[in-house]
Amino acid sequence: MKTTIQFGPQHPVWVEPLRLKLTMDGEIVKDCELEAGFCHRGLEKKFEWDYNKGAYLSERICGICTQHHSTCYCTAVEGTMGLEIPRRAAVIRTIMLELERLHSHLLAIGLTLESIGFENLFMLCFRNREIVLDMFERTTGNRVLHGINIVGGVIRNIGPEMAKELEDFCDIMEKRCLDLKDMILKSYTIRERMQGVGVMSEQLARDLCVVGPVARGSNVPYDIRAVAPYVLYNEIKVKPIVETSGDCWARSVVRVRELFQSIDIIRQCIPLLADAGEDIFAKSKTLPEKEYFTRVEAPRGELFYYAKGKKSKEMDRIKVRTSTYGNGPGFVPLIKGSHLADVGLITITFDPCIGCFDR
Amino acid sequence: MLKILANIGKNLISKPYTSNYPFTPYQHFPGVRADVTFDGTKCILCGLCQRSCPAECILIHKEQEQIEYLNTQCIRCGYCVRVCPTNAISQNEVYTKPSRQRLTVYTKVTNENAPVIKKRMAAEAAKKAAAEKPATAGTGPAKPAGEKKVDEKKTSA
Amino acid sequence: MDVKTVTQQEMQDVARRLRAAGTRLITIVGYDSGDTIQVSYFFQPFPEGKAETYRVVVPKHGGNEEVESITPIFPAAYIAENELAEMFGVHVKGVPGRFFLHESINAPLRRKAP
Repeated sequence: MKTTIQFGPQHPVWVEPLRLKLTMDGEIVKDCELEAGFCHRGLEKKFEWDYNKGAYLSERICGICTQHHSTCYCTAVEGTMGLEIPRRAAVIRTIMLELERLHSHLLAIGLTLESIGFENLFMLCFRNREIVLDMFERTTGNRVLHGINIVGGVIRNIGPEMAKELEDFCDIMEKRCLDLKDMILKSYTIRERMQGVGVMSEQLARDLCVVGPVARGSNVPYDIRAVAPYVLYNEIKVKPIVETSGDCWARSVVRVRELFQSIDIIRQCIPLLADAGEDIFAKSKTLPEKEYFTRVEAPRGELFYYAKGKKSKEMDRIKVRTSTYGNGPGFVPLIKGSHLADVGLITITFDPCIGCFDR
Repeated sequence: MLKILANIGKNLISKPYTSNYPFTPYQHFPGVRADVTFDGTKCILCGLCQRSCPAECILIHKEQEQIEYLNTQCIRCGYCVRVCPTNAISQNEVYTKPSRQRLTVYTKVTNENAPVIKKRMAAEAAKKAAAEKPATAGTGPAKPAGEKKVDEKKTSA
Repeated sequence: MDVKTVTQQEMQDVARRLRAAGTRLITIVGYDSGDTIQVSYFFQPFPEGKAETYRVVVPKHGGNEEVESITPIFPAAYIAENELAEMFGVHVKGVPGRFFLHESINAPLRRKAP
């Protein structure tokens, strides 16, 4: 006998609305249908306005990777007018990007653990995330929507005093993340629950062009920071972190290991601040005219912005392709054939951001 | 197992991580971005902040010579502070408390160098002069009267 | 950013050739220039190489434009092609054409011909 179960749009596993229509045969999912668009805001149309305001609008696409969105937007618009940002601005942007990866990954790990019922470790993840948010408040003035990126550079400088604080922060963070890593990787319970669940084979990952930790968990070393370097990743070499098994466990382990990579990159960036010049903003003399696209490695995967100007203050077309947009087709083949109890776990290890997905 | 016991012991001794909120309020860092304040003595009513505001929360009323600031609609981006040519806008470092009303703030502009105010004062002076003149001369000059009419139209609209 | 403009039939061959070489599809971008709809396909060679862009120009004639689908070759194009269809009101062969928007909303990014 077949039963149909509506998984969502309101479900405790995801904070945001997404609907999966599951056709069940007993405990096993036979068929799955993905339905999105519950928080479609029409932002691509709204982007056809003043390009300076667009940087603030792009932050509001996603509440977690705001800095990645605004960096990607600003780089795309700077590309359309052929503007080079000062070196100091590039260093500050890189530090902010990596800080944001830290807090996004801690959130994703915490939510994954919560979905399997491990609330205590979820609290620990959020405790660590809190000091990253404090660091954001210290450096940018805002905890979540930072608003320091504008077209042409950044608006807040990181002085020598703040650089020292960042170094101290790195030490504290590394110690806490090591604790967290021990707790997660050595835990028998978590491993037994997650290993072998929702296996995405390497061939499937290549076929569906999935991005981010989902691809890297399936042995596809695809990282924009290495493939097509942007702001400062030409100098700071990033080696993609790869796990081979492709299950929920591998995707979570990739995130845990990327925490240390991010801390390492911040440590490499801080000395560069000392001899980077004083300019943090370059005023553009031209208006957006050409077309250009940029890609940024957001915590969830590759982020793509296409910008086209029309020689006026308004932009002609902005296309946003977010990472969940790339990972979306991956939900369906993984859920098919799994247990109903695993559906929440499989989807949450993709770290879905529906606000990004629908825009 | 031993490690768990050690952790339990550590957690028993250590003080709680969370702060005792209503008694020890959260301390913000310096440089926190909150709402903005307008300085009426510096503003020249140019309207750049109104045009550059992404949230459209600043409304400049040139006729009434005042600035309407919709506090609850503001996104605290600080872009108006950047674009202001006379540094009349400053950003506070204390968050706005939650409230039941829409905290709309009106600021009266008193800067005498603002073009709009200059024009009004010139018109007023001309009017005054015109009011005194008819006692001496027969008909008043045409120019101030025309300006007066425009002013009336604007205020009525 | 260099763009190679191809016809729809050539695009199928290009997609097949890139698929065999292990290239990844980034996304499909639609753009309404007034009297034509430009469909740009962005590809990223993997493991290394520069991103490639191919463009198909579809002349507008009253909402009956047809675009060949590359979803059978690249399964990753499914969402992007659906979005292209619903946002620009073109007909992409072989996909339902509704993913994000409600049925009552019709082609919001399509512009009027000048």
